[in-house]
Amino acid sequence: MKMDFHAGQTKPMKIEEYNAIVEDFTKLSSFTRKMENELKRKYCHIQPHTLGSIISLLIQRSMKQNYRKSPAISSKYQELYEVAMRDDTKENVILKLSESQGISPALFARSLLQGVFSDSTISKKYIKDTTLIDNKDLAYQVFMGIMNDNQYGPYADVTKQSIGLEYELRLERELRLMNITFSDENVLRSRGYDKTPDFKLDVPIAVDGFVINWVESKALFGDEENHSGYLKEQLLCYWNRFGPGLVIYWFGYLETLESTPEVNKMFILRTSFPDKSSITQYKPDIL
Amino acid sequence: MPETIIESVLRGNLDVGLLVKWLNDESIEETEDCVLNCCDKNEFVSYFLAYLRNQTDSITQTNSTAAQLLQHSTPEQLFSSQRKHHRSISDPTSEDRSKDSLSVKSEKHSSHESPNRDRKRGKKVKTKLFPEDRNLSISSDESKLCIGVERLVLSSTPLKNGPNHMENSNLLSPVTPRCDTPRINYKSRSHEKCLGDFMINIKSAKKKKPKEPEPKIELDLSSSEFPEIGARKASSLRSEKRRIKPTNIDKNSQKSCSFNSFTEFQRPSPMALEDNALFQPQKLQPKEASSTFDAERNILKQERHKLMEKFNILNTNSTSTQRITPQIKVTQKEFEKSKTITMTDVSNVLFKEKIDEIVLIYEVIMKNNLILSINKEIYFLITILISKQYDEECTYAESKLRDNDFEYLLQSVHNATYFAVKSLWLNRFVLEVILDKNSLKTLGENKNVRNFYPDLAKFLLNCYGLRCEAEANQERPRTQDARPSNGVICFNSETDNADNFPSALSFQNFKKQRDMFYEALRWYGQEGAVRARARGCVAGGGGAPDNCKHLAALLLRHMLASCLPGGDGLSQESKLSKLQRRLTCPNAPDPHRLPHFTPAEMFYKEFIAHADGDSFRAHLRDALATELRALDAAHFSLDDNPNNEISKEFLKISKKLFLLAKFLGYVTSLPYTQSPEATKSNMIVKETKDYRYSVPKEKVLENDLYLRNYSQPSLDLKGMLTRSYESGRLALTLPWVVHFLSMLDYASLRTRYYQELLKLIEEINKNKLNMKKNTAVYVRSLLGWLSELPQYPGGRCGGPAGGLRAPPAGPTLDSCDLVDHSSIQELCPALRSLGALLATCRAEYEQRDNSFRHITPVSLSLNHEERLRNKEKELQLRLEEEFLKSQPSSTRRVLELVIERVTSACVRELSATVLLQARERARDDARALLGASQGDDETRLVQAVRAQYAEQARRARPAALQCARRTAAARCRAALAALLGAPAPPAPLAALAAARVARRLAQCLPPGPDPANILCKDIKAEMKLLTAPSEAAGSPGPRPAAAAAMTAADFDAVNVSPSTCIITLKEAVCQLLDGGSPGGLGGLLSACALACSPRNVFCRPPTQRAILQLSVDLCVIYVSRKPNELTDEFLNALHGVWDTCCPDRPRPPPPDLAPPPRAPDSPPDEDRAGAAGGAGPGGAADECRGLLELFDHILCPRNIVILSASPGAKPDVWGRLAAVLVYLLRNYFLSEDSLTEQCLAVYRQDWPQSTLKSLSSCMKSVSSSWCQSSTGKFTLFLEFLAEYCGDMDYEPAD
Repeated sequence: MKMDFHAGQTKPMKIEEYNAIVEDFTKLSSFTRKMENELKRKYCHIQPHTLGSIISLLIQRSMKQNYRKSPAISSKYQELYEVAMRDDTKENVILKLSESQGISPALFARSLLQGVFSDSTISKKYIKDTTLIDNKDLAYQVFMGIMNDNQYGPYADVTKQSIGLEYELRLERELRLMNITFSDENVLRSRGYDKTPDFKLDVPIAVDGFVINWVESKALFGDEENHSGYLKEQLLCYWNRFGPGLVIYWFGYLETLESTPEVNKMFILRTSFPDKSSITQYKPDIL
Repeated sequence: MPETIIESVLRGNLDVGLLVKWLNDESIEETEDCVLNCCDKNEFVSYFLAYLRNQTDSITQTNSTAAQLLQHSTPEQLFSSQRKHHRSISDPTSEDRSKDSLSVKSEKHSSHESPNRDRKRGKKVKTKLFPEDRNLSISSDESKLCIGVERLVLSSTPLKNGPNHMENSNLLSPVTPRCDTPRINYKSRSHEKCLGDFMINIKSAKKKKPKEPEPKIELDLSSSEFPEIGARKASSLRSEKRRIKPTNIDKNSQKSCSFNSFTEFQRPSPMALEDNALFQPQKLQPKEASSTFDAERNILKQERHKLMEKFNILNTNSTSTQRITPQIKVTQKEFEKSKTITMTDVSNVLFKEKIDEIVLIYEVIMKNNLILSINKEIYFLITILISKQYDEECTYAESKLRDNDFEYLLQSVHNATYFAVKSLWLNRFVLEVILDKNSLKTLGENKNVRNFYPDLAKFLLNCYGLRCEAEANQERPRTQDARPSNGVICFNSETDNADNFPSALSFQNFKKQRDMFYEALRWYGQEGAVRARARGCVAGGGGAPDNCKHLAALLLRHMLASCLPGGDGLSQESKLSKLQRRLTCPNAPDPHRLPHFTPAEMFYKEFIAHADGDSFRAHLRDALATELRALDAAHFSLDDNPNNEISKEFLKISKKLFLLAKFLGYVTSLPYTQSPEATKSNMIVKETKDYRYSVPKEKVLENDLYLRNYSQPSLDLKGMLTRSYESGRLALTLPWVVHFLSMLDYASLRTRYYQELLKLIEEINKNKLNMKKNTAVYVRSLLGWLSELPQYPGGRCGGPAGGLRAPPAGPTLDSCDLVDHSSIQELCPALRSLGALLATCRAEYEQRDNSFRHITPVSLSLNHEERLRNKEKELQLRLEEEFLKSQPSSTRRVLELVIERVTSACVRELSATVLLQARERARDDARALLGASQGDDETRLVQAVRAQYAEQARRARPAALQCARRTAAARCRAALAALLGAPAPPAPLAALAAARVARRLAQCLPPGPDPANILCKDIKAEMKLLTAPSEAAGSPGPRPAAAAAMTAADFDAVNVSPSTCIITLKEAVCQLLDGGSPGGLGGLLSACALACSPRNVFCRPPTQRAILQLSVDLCVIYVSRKPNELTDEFLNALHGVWDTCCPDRPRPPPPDLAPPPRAPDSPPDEDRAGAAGGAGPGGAADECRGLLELFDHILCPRNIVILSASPGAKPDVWGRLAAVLVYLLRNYFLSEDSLTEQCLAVYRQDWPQSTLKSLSSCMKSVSSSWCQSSTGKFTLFLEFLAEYCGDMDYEPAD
């Protein structure tokens, strides 16, 4: 099996294309793996990571609107589950229920477990490892729910964390390859910095003539909503402390972001680490 | 008394030499002239300056540009003008006025023909309507205030200003240019007549007619041929407040207006009518044909002449002397053109010797520092020079002069110009300093200067030439200075980190405060944005003192970085914006008269004003004061630095000091100048200005002084100034003290402390400016500027300050060349008004000649390579700057020190090595030359030897630079490592230091202005000596090589993405569950094994666990869905993943057992265990045990359900499961105990009979397959379970 480990060079996405994806997404009947795969088949020209990230962001936003975490809802889900389990088929109960409730299967399963097991520690443990659940039907249904959900559940969480870390490490390697010295978050934190970008360059560099002091890695797709969030919470804070920097949206970003006032003034956006040819390092001897 | 002195001098009754002696404080015998002994010197100076302005008033007022620009008078003038007013107001008809020349003058004005004077007189009479005591109570300070207030409203429309001007003008000197402002407005009003104005005036005129104060004169004038003129004028002036929509006025309609309405204006003077006459042409002109216009003009002329004669006669009775100040200022251009302007001619100068005497007195006054603002005087002189006069006025003045009437001495344009040019000549050395290059040229090319004093023109043009030459020789300023930076103050890990805060909360709060500060900066300019954010920012610290301290420090650092040109300057204007401003904006009268804040500074000002926390402001005051003290004490190396360097450093530090002092003054005066209402709105700027310059009521001031007399500033200014004087650093300290004082409010400057401080400053200024010429002019210019401020206490603060010790004899800062021509313009923005005046007049002149202003095109290199190089250089400079900014301040200081010291060391080394050799060679050549050319001309020889030295220096340059670079690199590295300690300084820091050292040395080495200087400073002495020793040089080590890196392909082969593996593996599991057949499972599992490998940099425990868990699930589901496809190959692939994740599996103790079979591609377990054990046996084993738990649930209820739900043949599924279990047992992933427990757990649950049967068969299979290697107990147990539980009669309830 050939595995594509690289997101590759991604260009900023046209707003029209993005809007088309969003439109198709809104037509989806559920948030399961299968629905995602349908979208991926339709937009096969887009990098899987990019599309995956876009879908992930869209699902997260939908869940913010549709899903509420509360004991009442857990009880309701439990009742629905029990009613459904009385049927003979018992096939993909959680998948069907989650679809009817308009939430993702893993979230339904989590909520259900919270209703079944009043102890939240236990429910968390069970959601992480369904083999621990004694109730064989519940275990199976929860397992099916988790496995058919690419955005929530223990595997999705681990994947997201792993991707973020992975691209940070890729970036770190690139920096090392270029002999660019830096301080990472841990070092900065140990020195008492209040805000820590992924990499604070010890010596600034210029990327296509733009001087950068820090680099922030974002292993996701940058759309307007999450970019504005990052801008407020992170990027402007970095600028306030370290000056201009570079943000890498590894899975691409919306081309409209290029025209925001901060871009190309406070930081620049890229979809990968810049080529050696576009980087200028400080050489005191030239002056 | 002073008027008597001048009159005596002019009439020859008093020897001018004696007067000069008196002014020079030389002893004069009492008997010689008691007039001098009876007069106060300051009073005389005040009078003299007022006299000069009175004399030239008629000329300067024809220059509207100057009138707009020149709005100041010295305190003395103001004082004198105010005095004059008092007298004229108190008793305008008193005979006693003859004793007071100023009063006499005003009386003279009132009695003479000049329309201008008439207007003035009219205004004065108006003041009579007010209670006398009100005017009398106005001090000289108040008159200044009026000036200040007037300045503030200058930009508003004449209609709005009208009444103010009328009132203020009463308090102003009639001789200062400021008095022109009302006239200008007056003129403009005359153009704005409308029908509504007339309608109102008719009514009001009728009403107020009985109140006419001087009906006699009014009646007399009412018989004028142009009665409607007065009515028009009155109506126009009346229209100031009640203005109805403007309508074009028909000439005939004006006839209905009563002339009596003129009195409405409280301008009862008969002379006022003349003003009306002056307006007539303007009104008629648009409707009249040119012939009619001329006819009317002639009638007017005649009428005017009649009136002049009439009033001459009338006033002869009341005054002994007559004088005219002929001028027509309020005119339209067409009208002006119709009058001929006198061409100045040196041959028409009358009573040259008398003018020379006046010039002499003027010069002595200036030389003795009796005038606070010399720049003001020069401005005045230049104004005369560029003004003009109409023929008839000039003729009249000359005719009077010929009758020996010295009252007209400077009233002819010829005499005035002669006076101005001669005075300028005597002040040429000041001119040379304070004028910029273009102004020098403009003035030098002025035809009056050329005609009247060619030497002055020559001198000025020569200075211009020298200035151009100097600029051409000067190295172009580095682009770095003009480049705007990003305006961020980097987080300083030394001062800003968590250790500098008392608590984590405080640290977190400051984190928010810093972001809010920048947010306020970003949103600056929006309505109310700064107000809310500044308050939020200060409040964000929760009132903690430490947060206020840090915020103040941040604001200060940011201000210093962004407000100074060359720093991060918004104030550094780009060429484009300069050009844009020049082309699109009208010339502002003068933005530098009052202390002002630049656009960049306005943010900080508003922030401070709105951040109304006492704690914050106190901390800010402390921060500003500390920074000021530190900068004021800055060290200047006077010995080894060329003056140019000191000058640059001085300029840099002075600018910083000015900024800090201005803000310290602002913060200090804020409690007294800011009203609480102001902070609620966006009126901070206006309100503060008003408060600062406003004169409090007498009682209020008294109370203020009583309360604040004992308050002291946050800095010991007096002490600092004294120490500065005594250590010869006055040029640094005094200017910033001036800036500090300029920001204080009216009352503060009158408190005891500041009065004493002003006394001290005056004392220093008067006698003790032991500085170089340029520096002294610079300091005096600033002091003059201070003295012109409206809140400055009037009169001299005089009196001996005493207690000043003389500065040291050796070289001091004051004794250096600190200020050059360009820096004086930068440091004294007020001087730019001179340039503006000259430039505007020049522009007007050029416009008349249909010429155009020249815009210098920016040169752009067409050489692509060169442009690229420059771009690269620019980028490198920016990188360097950013790099330095990001370093802690201590590192920066260390860096500076290292650069300084290493440069010195390199210079020493070069002097001892490369340059020494070059010198030796040069000497040999020189010896040979000298030997060969004995008896030649010495000058020529010196030149030849110098050329040889220069040549050798040029040749030695490359070697010297190379040597310097080597030395600098080694020394900088070592020095930084030693001084910065651990952690080791980054290599670029050392490289930066070395490069800077090399750059400094490169600047010293040729090509310079005189390359020979490098090898020998005194060629003549060298020619005599010619001997020297020599030394050897060392060499630094090589640079370290760069480390080799793994290729991208290799990297990706080893470091497989775990996240991708998880996603793919999960998808495969799902596909199997859905009944699909995922392809490439072998490759996927190999990738998963790599992803879980400890060599993989992306591998982390959570991902490893997720992969392992998924792979176990895959195994179970594969058995369930594809039992027949489960091959050893697949199991080995799985083994690869599992073994990678759990290399340290616990093994049973019996040693006689053979090792379990392994996957062919996996390394030996023992080796791995050993390797892992070496890394951390305990931790690795625990981790492994945690992961092995995943195998302990392989027979969990969920999996049994999955296996039971298999769509394929059930016996195969359970048989394959047994094979997998045995495989796991054999490979130590599963222990016998674990399997036993799982079985027991499974049987505890209720299962359908079919499942139980399947499970039993599975157990049996495991038992049979495993018995060979088992101890027996385990298999027996499995068999028991299979037998006992295989046919439990159970049916699910549902």
